[in-house]
Amino acid sequence: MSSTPKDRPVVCFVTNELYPLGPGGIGRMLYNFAKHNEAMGMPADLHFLVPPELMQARPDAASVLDAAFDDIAEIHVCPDLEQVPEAVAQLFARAATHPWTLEQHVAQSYQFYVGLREAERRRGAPFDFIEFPDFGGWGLASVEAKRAGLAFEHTRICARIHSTQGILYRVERFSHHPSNWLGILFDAERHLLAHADLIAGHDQAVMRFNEQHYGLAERWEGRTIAEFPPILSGTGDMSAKDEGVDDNLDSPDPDFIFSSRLQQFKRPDVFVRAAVAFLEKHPSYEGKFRLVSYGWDDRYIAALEDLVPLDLKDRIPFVLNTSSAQRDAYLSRSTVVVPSDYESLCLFAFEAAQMGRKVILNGKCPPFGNVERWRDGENCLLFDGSVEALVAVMERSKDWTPKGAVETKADPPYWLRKDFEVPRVPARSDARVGGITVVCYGFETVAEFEQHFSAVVHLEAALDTAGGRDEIRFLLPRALFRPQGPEVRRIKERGWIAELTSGVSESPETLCNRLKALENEVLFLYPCGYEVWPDFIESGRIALKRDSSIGLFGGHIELVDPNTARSDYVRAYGGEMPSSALLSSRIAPPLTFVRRKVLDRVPFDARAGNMWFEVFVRECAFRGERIAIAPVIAGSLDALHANAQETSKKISGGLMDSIGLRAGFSSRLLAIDPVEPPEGSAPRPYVIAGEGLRVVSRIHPKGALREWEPVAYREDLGGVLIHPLLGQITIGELRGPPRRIGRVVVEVWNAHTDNSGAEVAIALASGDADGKKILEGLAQGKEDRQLAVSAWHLVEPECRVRIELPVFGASAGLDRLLLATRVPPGGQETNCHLVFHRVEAWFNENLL
Amino acid sequence: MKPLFDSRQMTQYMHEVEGFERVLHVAHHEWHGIRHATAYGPGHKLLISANSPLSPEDKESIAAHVDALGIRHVVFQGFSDNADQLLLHLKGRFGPDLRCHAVTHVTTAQFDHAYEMQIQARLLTRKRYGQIDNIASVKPDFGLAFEDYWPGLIVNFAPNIPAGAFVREANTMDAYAPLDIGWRKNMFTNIVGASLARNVERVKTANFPNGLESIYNLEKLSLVGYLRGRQLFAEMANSALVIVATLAECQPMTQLEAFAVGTPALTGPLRIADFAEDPLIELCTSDKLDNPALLARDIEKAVDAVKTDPEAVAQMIASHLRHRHVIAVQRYAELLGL
Repeated sequence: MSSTPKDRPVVCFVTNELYPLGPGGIGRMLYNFAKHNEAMGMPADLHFLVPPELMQARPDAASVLDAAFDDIAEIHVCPDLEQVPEAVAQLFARAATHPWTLEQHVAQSYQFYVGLREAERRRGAPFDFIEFPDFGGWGLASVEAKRAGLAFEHTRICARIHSTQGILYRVERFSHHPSNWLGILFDAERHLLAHADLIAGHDQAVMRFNEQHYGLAERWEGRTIAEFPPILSGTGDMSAKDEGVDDNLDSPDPDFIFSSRLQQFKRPDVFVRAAVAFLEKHPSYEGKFRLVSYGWDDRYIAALEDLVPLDLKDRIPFVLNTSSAQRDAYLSRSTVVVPSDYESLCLFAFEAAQMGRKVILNGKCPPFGNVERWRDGENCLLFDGSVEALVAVMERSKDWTPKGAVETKADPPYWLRKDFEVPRVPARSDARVGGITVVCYGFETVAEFEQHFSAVVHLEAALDTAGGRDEIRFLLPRALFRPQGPEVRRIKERGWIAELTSGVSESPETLCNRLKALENEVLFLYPCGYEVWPDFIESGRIALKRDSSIGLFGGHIELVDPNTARSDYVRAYGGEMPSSALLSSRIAPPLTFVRRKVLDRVPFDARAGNMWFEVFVRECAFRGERIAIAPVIAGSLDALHANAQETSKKISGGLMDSIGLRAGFSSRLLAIDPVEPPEGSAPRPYVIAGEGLRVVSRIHPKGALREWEPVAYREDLGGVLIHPLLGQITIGELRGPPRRIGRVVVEVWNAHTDNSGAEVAIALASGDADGKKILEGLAQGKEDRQLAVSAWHLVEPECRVRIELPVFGASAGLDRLLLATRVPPGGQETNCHLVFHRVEAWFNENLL
Repeated sequence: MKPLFDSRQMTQYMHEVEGFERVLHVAHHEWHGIRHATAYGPGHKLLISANSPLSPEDKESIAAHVDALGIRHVVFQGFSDNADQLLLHLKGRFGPDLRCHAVTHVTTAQFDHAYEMQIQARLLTRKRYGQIDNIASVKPDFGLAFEDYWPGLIVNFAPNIPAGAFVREANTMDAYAPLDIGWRKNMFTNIVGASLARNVERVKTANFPNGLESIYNLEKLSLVGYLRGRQLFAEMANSALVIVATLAECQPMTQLEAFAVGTPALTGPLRIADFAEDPLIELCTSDKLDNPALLARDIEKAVDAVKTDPEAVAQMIASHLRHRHVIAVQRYAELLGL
């Protein structure tokens, strides 16, 4: 544990790059902060939190960092989530392996969150400041933890403007394949900037550009600070004549160099085209136009190389992946060109100017044009970003000499400023949360009610229902429950409230009005199929009390393996993610707190049918409602409900269209075919297969009939054998899930080559249907309100058959699923090995 | 399977008891019965794997959590090579500041698996060298048979389920035998006995008694399959009687889970002195474990009690659970010196 004098601020920088481990401007700048702090006599206690991947990047990483930061800063490494013995960490450790998903992003930010908590624990005190870069959205979990009151109560979370992916892709808007992943990333970056206590930048013009891009002027009022960071003199020898460098020493004309990364927004294309135009205009010019750089997109680099005519290849060479000594050698004899469309500072330009190089900058780039620091003709040459203008400036540069140096004196960093106080957050806490109304809804069967009831009972310990502050309210459809029925009686016996709703399911609009009419300010929506973790109720109470601006409060959802009852995987939710909401419903889980007044602003849309909740949360994200998703598990979702459809192209298309109409576009966005997010939008069935079919037991005919059992699970055949018996119908039964089933699909295989074929049928009967009626129904194809039966299908030897049976009318949950076989007229039972190897239960697909 | 502290699975139905905040129970992911016995008691819970090795990082991570939680007592519920490694690591890290104990859940009937004796021998060695303070047992009088075991009896907790959480079907005449396959569990006798009981209408089972159908009419049999969590509790609550009349047991958790939802559960004689006079235990005990015809009479007796006076049975169960939990807390407090 380190000790820090009381007046010495403690700052932790979160980063995935750190000099001298590899290239990268952010890593270099953070290193500079540490060296600058050392030069000032260590007025601050600096820490760095890095992911384990950085330490694995090279074998000597630990010793390199030790040597660089010994006695000037402490390095913390995030724990590998797999090694953190907590359920949430284990779930996110598994989620991190699923690329391009919200789960992966949340897992990454959760790892930084755990790393920060662990670093705090080790030092025995919180940090005064935690600084995240604006890039990557890694602060998501930490910011949400702070909003929820789980952590960092006395710590200021800061964001430093480097360059977000969102800003870069605004500049490079025609260069990238669109995807839901980009939406997640953009939203997560925006989330940090929208909730950080302080936004630090290096240049006012860049900060204004970001403020306008993100529309955060109001939020940033009094929370931004522009400070020039420390720039250390380069270590390279500018007069070096490194071996292996292509020599142009005898040239009377100066060389030009592009040495930013080969990436679209850095505009190497402008440099190449200007070089070509310059040489076309001045064919006798003997200087070279080098691109001394690196990049990760080989196709882009090849395209840049193709811009150079064959006869100019030696005048405009690409020198890729060179050593820093070679790069310094090239720089030492070149005029530096930075044609970038966007930079947040460009350390490289400052370092080059400090080294006495001539510097040509794009004046349209925010930190270069119209700023005090860079003055055209005095310490740099500016051009307007165009090829023609760059050619003209290159011509002008030949006879130009810098008249003054660029100012690079570092400002005091915010953690040392005494004259700047960041406003406390939350800004609008009214410190009052009245009672909570738990709303239990979504029942399609009595069996589902029973399951839900047994889960809700545990909530009593977390609520004040006896004192009347909180209430538990069940919404029961009249089609299933009677006002004087046992379910209503049991609800009332516990002091809860039973409310009967119209028909099978009421309109979302009616439900919304019902909720709006409740007295308590805070609702906890508790749909059937979920089981809340009781601690989450207290989490919600704390978060909503802490920040009255939060309209929706949720967490992530654990999915449970139906076979082992073990924690299986996590379903993550993003909260305030308006871009992701275009395609995905993973904004807030259906198990969530909603402040009642949000319903006045964003009512449920009846036209969304059974996806009213998904549309509601997405509309909330579009309209800027405050949504907090704490980095905790809010509850578990029953495996039977896990496969329910989360969105559809129609829903996404409709939402996008409404956004376009609201924005006044003449274009109708229904013209776009939205892609499906990774979680998929098609409903999936509940499947009973393999070992799960062991439970099938014979209900007809009864007694010992042969020397072998006609209904038995056969591991060797991968399913349950229902052997037909001459003159009988053989029926195997298994119990259906507690949910109401829409249709049943089975796959049957006649597994033997040597038989005369046999017939199969399936049926579904309600749990209390009697055996006689089932047998009659199967024999005569007679259906009724309690029984659905399929036709009989002949299955030839070694053939397979798929039978599909609509059952919604007969199903009531916990149904009897019946698998039947019989010998066809004139056939024989010998070797009739009819094997059912898959039973699918598809749930209610009624979208209204 | 990685180490896991205080997972939902292990805390959902636990009893919160003041004074156990610095106690950590260590159980194994794979050993279901012991895991349940551990889950329902007070204190923190750690699950480790019995089969996959613990890495050095795992052990260090566990130690860091033990430190962060301020744990003073570790109770190994069941023991394994991994538990042994963890014990040595924790003692090496915390020394005498951390007291370690073991609770064994084995019966001598299980000693035909040599592994069980090897584990006991390992525990005794650890006790001899001072790494473990006490070895206790949930099997009555285990300490009278073997030296160096704590003489008292650890009493298991039933799950903490609020009354009324699961609906009880008033007129059900179903018996439920959620038994595994294997001779010790005595599934065939239980199924035949329950089928012979005249007042049992349906016999619900987790497994099909393969082959029995060729010599016995299984008309009453209903296969409900393996159920877990709330589905299991619901099925128990929806039964007149749960049957776990197995051949060798310590304190079967299935019985305590049935009690927790208000259903009596029949076992063989468990001979727990604390409950010698308990009317519920008398009603729920049969010594006719290898005689289905006689076992059927004991089943009939228990089902009849439920049928004729369900309220009296409910009160017996509530009273038993109150008594049980007072003793269970006392015993752990004595063992740990709390």
